[in-house]
Amino acid sequence: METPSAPAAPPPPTAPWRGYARYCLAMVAGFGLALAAWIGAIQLQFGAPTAKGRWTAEVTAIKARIAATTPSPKLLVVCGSNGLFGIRSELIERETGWPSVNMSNHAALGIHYLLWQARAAAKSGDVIVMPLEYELYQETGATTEILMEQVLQGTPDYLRTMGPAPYLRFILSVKQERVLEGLQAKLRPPVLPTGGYQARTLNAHGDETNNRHEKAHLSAEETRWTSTIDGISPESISWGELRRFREWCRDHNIRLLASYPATIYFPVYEEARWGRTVRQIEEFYRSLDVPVLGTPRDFMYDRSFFYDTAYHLTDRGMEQRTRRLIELLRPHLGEHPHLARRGGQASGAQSSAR
Amino acid sequence: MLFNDYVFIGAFLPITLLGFHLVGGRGRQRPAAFWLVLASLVFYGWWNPLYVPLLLGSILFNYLLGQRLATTEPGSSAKALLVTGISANLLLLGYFKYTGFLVETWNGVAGTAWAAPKLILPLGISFFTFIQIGYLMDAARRETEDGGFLDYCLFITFFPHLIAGPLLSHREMLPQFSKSRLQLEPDNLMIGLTIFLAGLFQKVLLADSISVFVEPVFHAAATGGSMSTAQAWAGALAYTLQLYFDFAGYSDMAIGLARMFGILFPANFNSPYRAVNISDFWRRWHITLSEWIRTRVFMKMTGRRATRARLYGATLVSMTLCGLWHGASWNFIFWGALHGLYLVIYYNWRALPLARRVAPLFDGWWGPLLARGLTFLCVVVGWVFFRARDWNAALALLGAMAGRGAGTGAALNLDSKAAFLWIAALLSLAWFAPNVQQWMAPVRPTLDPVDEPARRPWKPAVLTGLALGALLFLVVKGYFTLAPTQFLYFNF
Repeated sequence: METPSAPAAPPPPTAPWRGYARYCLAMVAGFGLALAAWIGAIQLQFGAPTAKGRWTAEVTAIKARIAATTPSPKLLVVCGSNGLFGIRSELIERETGWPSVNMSNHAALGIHYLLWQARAAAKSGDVIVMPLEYELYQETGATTEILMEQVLQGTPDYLRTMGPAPYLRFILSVKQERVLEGLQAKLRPPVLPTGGYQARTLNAHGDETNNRHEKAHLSAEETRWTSTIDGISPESISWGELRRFREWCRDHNIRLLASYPATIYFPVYEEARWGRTVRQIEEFYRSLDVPVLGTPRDFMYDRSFFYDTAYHLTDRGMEQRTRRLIELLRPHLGEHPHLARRGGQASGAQSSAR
Repeated sequence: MLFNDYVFIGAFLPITLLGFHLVGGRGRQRPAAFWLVLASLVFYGWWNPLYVPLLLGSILFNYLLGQRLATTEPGSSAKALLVTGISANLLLLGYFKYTGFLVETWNGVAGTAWAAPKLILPLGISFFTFIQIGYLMDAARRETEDGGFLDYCLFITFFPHLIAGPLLSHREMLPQFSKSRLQLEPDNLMIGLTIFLAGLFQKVLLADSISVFVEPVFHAAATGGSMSTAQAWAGALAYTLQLYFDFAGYSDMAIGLARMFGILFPANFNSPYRAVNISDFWRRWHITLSEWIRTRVFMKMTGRRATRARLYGATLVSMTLCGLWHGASWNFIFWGALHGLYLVIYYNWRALPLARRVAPLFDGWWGPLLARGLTFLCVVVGWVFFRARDWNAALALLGAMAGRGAGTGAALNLDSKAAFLWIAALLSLAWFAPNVQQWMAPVRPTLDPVDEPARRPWKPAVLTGLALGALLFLVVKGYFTLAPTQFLYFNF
């Protein structure tokens, strides 16, 4: 039979009040010191090359250099890799006379990062064409692995743009293994794998040139329609990001033009639900007074025009898509101001000077 | 709301502590108790407010019945009241927890196709039902004290134990509510916080970290996937450790939370994987449930002078019920029965003359080590049934552990080397490091006396505070890098 326990009470205090206060303060200090040590370890490995973020970091650096050396007013293409593989800014420049830079990068970097990059590259008088991937309208603000690698390896300055809460979230999301890998790479730079995408295949405008039609290898897994087929959440952080970007462009005398990404045509895009998604995007840009070039259908192609994902065109698709974009761009661009002044004699000079 | 949830840590707990201090300061006992009941109901209702009336109804029913039992002369009417009370509690538990299982079993046996009702199991129902059945049984023996409805409500709803134990006894709790000072004290707050953080550390950094090696193996076992013998062992051992650090971590968090309010809980774990036999294991694992089953089921069945056959029968039945308590599935029932069988074998072995003859052979250091290893192995085999999706999956995994039907496991995406490094580290902690009760022994962390206090026990020193702060940082970091998981015992 169970014996009743004696009524219990905690034992008397084992230390004076001040002792516990010191203990509590030490706990807070321990937390602070660990956090500081963690931030220090992350800062120490900034820029260390690792296999995962190599390509994106190199592409970012190259494009930033091109943008910095291209005189304004210029045209900038800002979006995820549908622009990298699907817009030939070299052709835009040749056809319109506007110096053009393809600033498009990996879409997984997220809307905040891509727009931050655009802010750094754009100057007064520039025109930004923004054919964003549909998923970029549907963001939660979560840090992707690609973005993490990009910031740690390529652009630590990006951290300065964050508020305290996103900064802490980012810092704490870095895994211990990643920091160790970075510190090791800093001490002894690793031999990075040479397969996969290569930054050296970009041309002088930042366009991809290795997406040759005969090398296309689109898998069934990559043949898919957008996840925004049923609409975009009003809670998405992208709306706010784009609204702020629009204001920034207005304040800095930069013209903003929206468009649609190149993607595979699926019959599902004829359904009413997709029509609602498109209307959401159109109405949003209308509310911001941003012209939208074309319709999604203008940039949908048969899957045979795609290289390796549903957003990456082959060079043939790239040519078609760029020509269609140029048609839509012309009424908005007009003649380049410098060309207008020089009577059009300087056409192409910008390109050869670079 | 879970104890490791940022809403709990960042909002609920600070508000409850502040309210407790403001309402209950200067010895205002009743308002303090009322505040704690209110906060506990908010805590419970956060998950699903619809079940708060169910909890309150159960409390009111059992309190009134307990009052009646305590004033009824022992005899047939008291017995009838007690049977009514226990039946009502078991019916409520059975309805929510076992209806689907019974319908499915019936369908399987009779070939019918009855639709099982889709019921959501109210959180903690297994715990608050058993606590109240214990209360009624003691009330029928006139062993309860009437501290009033408010104290009874606090005894059942007090949020640190409400949804996953420990299983409390009114004898341990009600005197504390009436005799202790329900008041915020700096020493209780800091001691409680330390125990809570130690539990949080076990849950977030140990249990959640090793959990990544569990699912792939058990999933492969359930779906006929290939796995190597090493992977099968890695999965089974990883789960053995995950379950321990998850539940022991939870229990420590509960003990720490209660201590912040000046309340002591009983210990629920005492380094169970150091057990040198299966009976020892059950004195160390989920101690409050083992004790409940021993005193409320086993001892009722054996009586004072039981024959050996009755003793063994009672052991098997008690342990099978223990398995059934964990969940409505044949796996749990088998797991319970298996432990019953282990106990019967152990009792039989102990009674054999041979056991006494060979005992001196194991007097050296290797004796306890061998006993611990053998007990641990038996426990691991039991956990395979406990965790596996079904009987076949458990057999497949055990087969792979024994080298039968094991493949290369190349498709499993499980790094056996990393898994075994984690397992070795966590096993060392479970086997050799002092547990939280032993570490905190000088400040009496639980109601029970601590055997073998740690050689270097806790004290509120600056260095300890710094180390705990750094550990807290790792826990907070874990929220951002580890996949969030529930406490495993919330399922039961």
